[in-house]
Amino acid sequence: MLEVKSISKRYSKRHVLDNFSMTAERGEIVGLVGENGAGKSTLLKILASLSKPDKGELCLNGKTYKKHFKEHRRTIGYVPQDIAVWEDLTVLENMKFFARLSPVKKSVSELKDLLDNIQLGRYGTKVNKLSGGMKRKLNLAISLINEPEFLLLDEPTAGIDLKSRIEIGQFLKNLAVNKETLIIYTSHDMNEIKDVCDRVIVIGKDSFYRDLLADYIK
Amino acid sequence: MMDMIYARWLLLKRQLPKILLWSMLPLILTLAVTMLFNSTSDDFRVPAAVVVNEQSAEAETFTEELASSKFMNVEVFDAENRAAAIRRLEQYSFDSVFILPENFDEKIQTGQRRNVIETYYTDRSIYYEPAKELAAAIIQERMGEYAAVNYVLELQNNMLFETAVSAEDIASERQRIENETNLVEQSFYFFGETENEEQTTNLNPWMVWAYIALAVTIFTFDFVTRETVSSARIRFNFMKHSYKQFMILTFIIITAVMLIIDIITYMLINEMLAADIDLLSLVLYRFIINGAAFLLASLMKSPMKLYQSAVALTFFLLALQLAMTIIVSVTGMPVIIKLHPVEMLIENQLNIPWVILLIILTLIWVWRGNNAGS
Repeated sequence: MLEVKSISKRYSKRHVLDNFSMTAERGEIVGLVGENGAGKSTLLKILASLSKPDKGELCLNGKTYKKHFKEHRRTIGYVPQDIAVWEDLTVLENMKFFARLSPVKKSVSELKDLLDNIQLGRYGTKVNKLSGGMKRKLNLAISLINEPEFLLLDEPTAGIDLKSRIEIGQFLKNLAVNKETLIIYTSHDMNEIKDVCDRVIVIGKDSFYRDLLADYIK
Repeated sequence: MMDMIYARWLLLKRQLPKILLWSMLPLILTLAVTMLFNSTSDDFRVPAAVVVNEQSAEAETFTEELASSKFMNVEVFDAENRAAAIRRLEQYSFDSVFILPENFDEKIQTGQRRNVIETYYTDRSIYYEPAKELAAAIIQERMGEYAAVNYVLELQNNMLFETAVSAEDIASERQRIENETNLVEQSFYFFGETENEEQTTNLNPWMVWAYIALAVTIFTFDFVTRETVSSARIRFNFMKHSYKQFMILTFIIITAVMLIIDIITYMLINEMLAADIDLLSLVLYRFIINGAAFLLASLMKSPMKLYQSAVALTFFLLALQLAMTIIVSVTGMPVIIKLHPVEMLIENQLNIPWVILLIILTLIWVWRGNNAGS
């Protein structure tokens, strides 16, 4: 279970997050929506332990981030907004690279299975030869190597075709159901959020936050 | 550890030919530049002509002495070809022309200093003055010998008639003493100066190597910049090894490979250019340039900026070394020489201060990384 208790974050004089709280259970898919600069990516980085809140506390499975951030990082999967892969390597080489350094061991056949599940079969193709949609899938697949309990996705479908978007959405739904992964997902596309997520948290400027059921939006 | 080595291999395997080529470049360029420069220096001679109007022993001695000079290339003409020699001077084929008169032998023996040699030069004769000085020195030496012989014979005739020696005996004894003392080849040192037997105008191959190796090493580390600015770096936060650990291991592997190439370089330069250097100084120099290149590459935002820094740093250090004598004399602090890594290398000194400084900077770099995160 994730608990976020009254966290605040400011850059220079500007409050990006102010007194924000939320909870989420394993198996849930939570969407984060809001305008540009509202603080979605900042919140995601704080949840991924890549940035510290100025105030407030975060707990994952009852353990605070402050004391256990290194332990938490082993159970977190983070899909950054930028495509965080090595462009000069092939799809499978990228998977092998991060699998070797990951806390969870994976064989080559397991890595291929993972790629197949996400419908990315071009193992031997160099990343710089892939389409935007394929790169996004690889970006997601690498984040799943360590079998995360908690998956954070920062606009994982930005700039890709509808087919790839639907495939990624379906894959995430299966992941939440089958592996009970807690997924937090940001996007600008409300239709996509409604299709994929169970709950939606609206992050507005001036500390406006709303926690809604996705069905309610429909 | 093996996981990191395998991961590093995956990232570097396609760049391996490029890295190996870059690593061999200092050796190849050093051999090429040094051989080219030194052979050019050796080949250069001032072209001069000597026109001999009489076939005498002194005329022959003069032309031989002049031709034996390291910076003269002498062509001998007889009296009939005097005009040809002058014409070639006018065509700038010669820097200067020396004409020995018909009574050259007599003038030398009797010490007639006026108009001993007739000389010609042009407005482009940039080496006329040193050539003239050399000719004057030869004539002075020959006249001096005759003067000494004549003086000794005169002394003998007046005072020591019973111990008669011939003029030839005196001349050969003078020659023997000159050869033994070798005054012409002797070097003189002022107080406080040290002897440097290899002080020549030839390029020091290790100095050439040091600068090329510095620039090339920084260029080789461009992959560090590419990886540091890559979005993929963020993933190391969720790996069992940190990015800094991964890069430190990379530094060790690359340095080990470069050290092997350096040892090959050491043997080849030693063998082919007969230029020795202290191996430990060379190893420390490798650590210093690799450490500096690695830290520089980690700080840069783009490979292009790294390349610009490499060129700027190399030229800065070269300029500093060329100006070192002036800097030391102005500041009165010879210790400044010890701050220059290339100077330390070619002087066979162990550059401990730079090694300590780079270790401290690397520790700061590691410490800054470890303090990131929640």
